[in-house]
Amino acid sequence: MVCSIPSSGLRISTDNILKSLGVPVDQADDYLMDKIQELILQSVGISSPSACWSVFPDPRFLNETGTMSLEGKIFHLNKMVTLALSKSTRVAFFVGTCGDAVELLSKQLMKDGHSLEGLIVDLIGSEIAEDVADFVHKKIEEDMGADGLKVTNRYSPGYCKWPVSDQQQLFHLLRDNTCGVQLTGSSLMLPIKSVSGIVGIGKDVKNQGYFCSICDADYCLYRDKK
Amino acid sequence: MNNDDLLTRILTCVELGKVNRNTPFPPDMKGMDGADELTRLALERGIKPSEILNDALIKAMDKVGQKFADKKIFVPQMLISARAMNASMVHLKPYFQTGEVKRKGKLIIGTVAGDLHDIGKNLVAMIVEGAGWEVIDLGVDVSAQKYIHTIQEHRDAVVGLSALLTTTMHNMRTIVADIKNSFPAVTLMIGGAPVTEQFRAEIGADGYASDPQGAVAYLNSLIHEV
Repeated sequence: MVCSIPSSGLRISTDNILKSLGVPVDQADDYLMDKIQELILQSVGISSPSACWSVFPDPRFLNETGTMSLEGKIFHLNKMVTLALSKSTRVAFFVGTCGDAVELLSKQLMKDGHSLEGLIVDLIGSEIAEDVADFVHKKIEEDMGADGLKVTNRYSPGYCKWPVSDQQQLFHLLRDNTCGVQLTGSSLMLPIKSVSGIVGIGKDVKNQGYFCSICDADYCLYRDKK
Repeated sequence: MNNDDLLTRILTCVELGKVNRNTPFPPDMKGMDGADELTRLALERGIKPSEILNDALIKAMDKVGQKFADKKIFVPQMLISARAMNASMVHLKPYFQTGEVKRKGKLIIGTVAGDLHDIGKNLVAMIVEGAGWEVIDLGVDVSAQKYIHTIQEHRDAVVGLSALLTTTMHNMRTIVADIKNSFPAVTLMIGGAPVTEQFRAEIGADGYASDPQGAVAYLNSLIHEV
């Protein structure tokens, strides 16, 4: 499945940008607020958000090793992720992107010495990518709901101790259904402001939040934030 | 305005982020000369470039870094100050090239292989440069080979490694080992959101900084050793 997402449907929050900048909302001055709002309008206007996903039947989960076998490939999801997905009878792999225009704008601003503006646009790009991930997650939930199925949380390579290198297999299974997103040799996505991941599907699965309290990824910067 | 007053005004412009006459920030300095015009004036008056660097720019960025560490200012203000500092630096660059103004040392910095996040690394680079160090920025997704190649050309440099993802911070372990294998005497400093002092000790790096000011403090502590 492929869908383009109307940029009018994006909801980029000024507060989230302030949070990412480390600025308490009550300490943001008018200059900064005006700049963020102006750059949100500009960035959303040039973005081209889209998402793709494919559903695969019969995933086999091994909770002891934290792996999933699918279409003859082994994914090293990590125990915490396999535990959350283990009741899935299907899985969806997805890729979403906000396109490369926002990233190019950010780079140009940085190059011209406008570091603050470049940083704000970079953060807006990340917010758009997260919005796209929310959109595709909801879309998969709606599609599967029509068949009486439910979905789990979404998980992405690089997080929850799922190695980034598994992106290669994920993209291989998606074949050309990746909205033009490509992988670098070190398994990073281009355009940079893209997201990929997995969603579990089944009659007995549920979206139950993330397991920071039982995760042993001591160094994770998202720890206890989701 | 005597020369001391002029240096103080340059310091204030950099500290508060007044780039030039045309920039609207800070609002209460609108229409006034900024770091750009005042540095040019200082050189025209015969003030030594080293005095401008040491008595205005480094002092200003030190204040900025300290205010950031004390959470009195945030990333946006720091970036605006860095931009003002760069406006001054443009006038000083020729004197660095002739050797008339000496820097404290060199830092080779990059985001490690597998990671494209560069915001934290850029902040550190800007503040370290403002503290009087030459910065050689290798960008993102930097391999051990690229670090080693650059160290070969700058044997006296300190090397900084940054990572944002928990999965890519572990690439630091391999890169640190490879660099130490080729250059046992090189000083390696690491940083990034998920990185800790404990992790530094585990992988055998020499220094760890949790913020840009910490990076400057660590580098300055090496001056007699480099």
